[in-house]
Amino acid sequence: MFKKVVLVEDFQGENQGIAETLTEKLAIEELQSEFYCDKAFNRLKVALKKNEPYELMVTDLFFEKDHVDRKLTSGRELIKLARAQQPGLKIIVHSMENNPIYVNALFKEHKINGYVCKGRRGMVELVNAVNEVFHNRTFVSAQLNLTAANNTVELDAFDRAILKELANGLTKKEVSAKFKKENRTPNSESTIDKRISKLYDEYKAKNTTSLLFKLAKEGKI
Amino acid sequence: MLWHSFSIVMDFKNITLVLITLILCCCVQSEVDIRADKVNSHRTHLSDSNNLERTSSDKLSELNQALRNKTLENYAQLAYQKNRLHYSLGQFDSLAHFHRKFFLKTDLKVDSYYAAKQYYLMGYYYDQIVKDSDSAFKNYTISKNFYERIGDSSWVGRNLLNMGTIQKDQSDFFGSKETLTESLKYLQPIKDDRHISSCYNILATNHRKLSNLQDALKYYSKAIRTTNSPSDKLIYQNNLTATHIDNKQFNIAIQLLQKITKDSLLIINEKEYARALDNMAYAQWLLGEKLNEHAFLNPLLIRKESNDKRGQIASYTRLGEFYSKNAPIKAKQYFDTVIQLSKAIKMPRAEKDALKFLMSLEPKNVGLRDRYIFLQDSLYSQGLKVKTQFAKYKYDDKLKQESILRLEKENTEKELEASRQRNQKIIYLGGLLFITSILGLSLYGFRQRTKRLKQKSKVEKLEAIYEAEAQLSRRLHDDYGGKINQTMLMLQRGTDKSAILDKLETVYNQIRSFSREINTVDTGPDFWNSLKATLEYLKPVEVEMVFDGGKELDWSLVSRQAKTIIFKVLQELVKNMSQHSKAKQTVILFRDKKKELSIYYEDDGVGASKKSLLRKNGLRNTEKRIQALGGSITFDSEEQKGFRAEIRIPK
Repeated sequence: MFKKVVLVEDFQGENQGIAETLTEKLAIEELQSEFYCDKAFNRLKVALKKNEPYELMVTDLFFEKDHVDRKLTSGRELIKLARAQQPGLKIIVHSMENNPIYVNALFKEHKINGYVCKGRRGMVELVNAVNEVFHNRTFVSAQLNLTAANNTVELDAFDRAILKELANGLTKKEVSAKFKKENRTPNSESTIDKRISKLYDEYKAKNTTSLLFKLAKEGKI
Repeated sequence: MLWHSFSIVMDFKNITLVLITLILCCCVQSEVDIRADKVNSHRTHLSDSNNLERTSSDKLSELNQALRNKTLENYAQLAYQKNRLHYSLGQFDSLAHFHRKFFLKTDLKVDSYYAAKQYYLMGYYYDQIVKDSDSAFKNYTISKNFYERIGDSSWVGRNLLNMGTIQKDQSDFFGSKETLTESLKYLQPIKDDRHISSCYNILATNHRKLSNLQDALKYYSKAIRTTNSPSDKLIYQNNLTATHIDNKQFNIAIQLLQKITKDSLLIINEKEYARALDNMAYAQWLLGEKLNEHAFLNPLLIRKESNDKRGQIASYTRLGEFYSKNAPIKAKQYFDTVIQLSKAIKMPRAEKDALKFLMSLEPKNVGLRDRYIFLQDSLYSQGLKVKTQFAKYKYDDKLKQESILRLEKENTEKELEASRQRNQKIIYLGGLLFITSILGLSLYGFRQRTKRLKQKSKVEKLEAIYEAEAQLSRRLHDDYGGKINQTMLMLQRGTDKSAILDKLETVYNQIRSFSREINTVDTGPDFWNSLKATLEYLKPVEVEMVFDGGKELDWSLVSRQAKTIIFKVLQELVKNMSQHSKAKQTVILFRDKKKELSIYYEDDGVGASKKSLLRKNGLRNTEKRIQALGGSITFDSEEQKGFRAEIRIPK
């Protein structure tokens, strides 16, 4: 099991609860609990300098502002710096946040090792998460569905150009021909087809096209 | 300096023109006649034509009449003429009186010409009649200044010549030299030839007294060369030979004297004739020629006849010298006579010289030595006093002149500056008044407007805040309070533990999302991702959402308040959509319009009537917030035809 763990949580009761659970159930030898991100970061830094680095950090995302001046105001910032300073550090986030998009971003951008939603089963999940992470696996709370399609599209300039031409009544072929003529890349029919299917056909709903098409026709896109 | 350049102009430019003007001036000054009257010092003075006395007094009464009539236009001229007549009639009291009066009534700036003449007259009066050298010197100085002002170079020179003569007579030889050298700069050739040679003569005398015999000889020769007057020439020649004797060039002196004594003119001028004879005898005696005492007694006789006291002193001194070797007792008698005579005519220098000889005859006479030392000391200190005194007059005068010039300059400059400042002041004041009034008016208007706007936006902000608070409190009570109350009832009824836990979890989750909803918005660099994530999370999974333009937009240029509002408004719209609209698709367009952002929202839901929209607290609240920031939100919706909103907000 991890020997050196740092816990960052600003609610005293919660901090204490987590600390007790972890030391009782996982027999962690050295658990340092901190209430501020800055202090936690300094702990990591000093330990690393002494060549006795922490192995795991458990942190919340939201820290309330109080009378103490702070440089790091959120778990996200702390994670970013800690990751940069000590790439081998294992990180588990324990937070109220249950927006899969946020959580996904944490995994992608900061390579966190586990995410536990605070809640009824929070403690149990946290203990599981530490175990999983110790064995080099990732852990995500069961309630979060990170893989589900969220049906969101962000248009780019190419999409807009295609939409405009379609709104003018051009077919896919004609769009491709026009783009080639105007030396606009990409302009192959297949690429354009793919884009159009993404905008038109990916969605099951029949009226998908209508709204975008309508907006393009109105000149809003 | 001014004068110097002026004289240069006269020398090189239109000299003829100037000469004509000067001649004209001389005609005006024709009443003033100048002639030499002394042997050593040669002064300009006023003619005293006795034969005109009657007409003079007639003229005086005429002048008095005219002056009484207060014809002030030519007051200065008339007053001067009157003073001149007083002088020539010997009415010196009246002269002094009217001298003062003259300056009370005359504007010296305008009548500088008559002021100059008046002062010259007074200088001459003090010099010749009163023998008050100090006052004479002062008056000549002032006269000179007035002539300088009106640009009469010649008369400046004459004044200086008289001043130099006074200095020489008072034994201030150095000062005299200086003054005379200055005088030479002003005196005009031809017209002032007589004064110029006189000037050289006095200069030579100064050098002789200062024992610069070579310079003295040079200047006497110059005086002889330049003079046109035969009588003056004789005097200068006598002076020259005396200097040669001083210089022990007896042969030259004798040769010269032999020439002079043959001049028929000299015989008429007894004084100079006696002097020439005396000098001749003295030179011959000094040369060692055997001489009869008659050689000295002869000139003494002439001098006695012409009552020339100075000459007599000279003769007695030489007789004393002549006898001092062979007949000391006779010599002593002559020297005693010298002492008595010099005391009588106040010539301490002559007395001192006599004492010097007497002392060598009677080395043991302490009285003689004491008197000699006393005379020497007092002569020395007097000389010093005189020197510093004249120097002081001249220096003070120079300072005064400079300060007058400076003051005049300053005055005109000040006046100019004052008028300029006056004009500027008027312009500035006018401008200032204009600007202040405009500023004041605009400031007043601006204040009123901002006050109004502030009040308006303040009211709007406050209203928004109050409404938000009211909404939050309603939600807390209706949603969560109600649910917790339900749980309490379940506990009381002894419901299954897990059911209660489930219930509590839903409440917790609801409170969590509520908290996130009202939480402060992340307006930092992650704003866009955070906004997108929040909106994605709010919508039901099956609803498609298209974003356009948000990624490309530079959110760092958008103010924190605007970002917060956008976040809240879109949150509200999406929440609304997911709760009531049954929409399948949503499009949110972000457009950067330089100074403002435009956000277009559309969904294909059931839509809502405006009335029902406005009943919705959340939306009404957001509308107020946007308006408080100076933006706008417009809703467009018909039942069954979707929902559109357009938001414009300043960056």
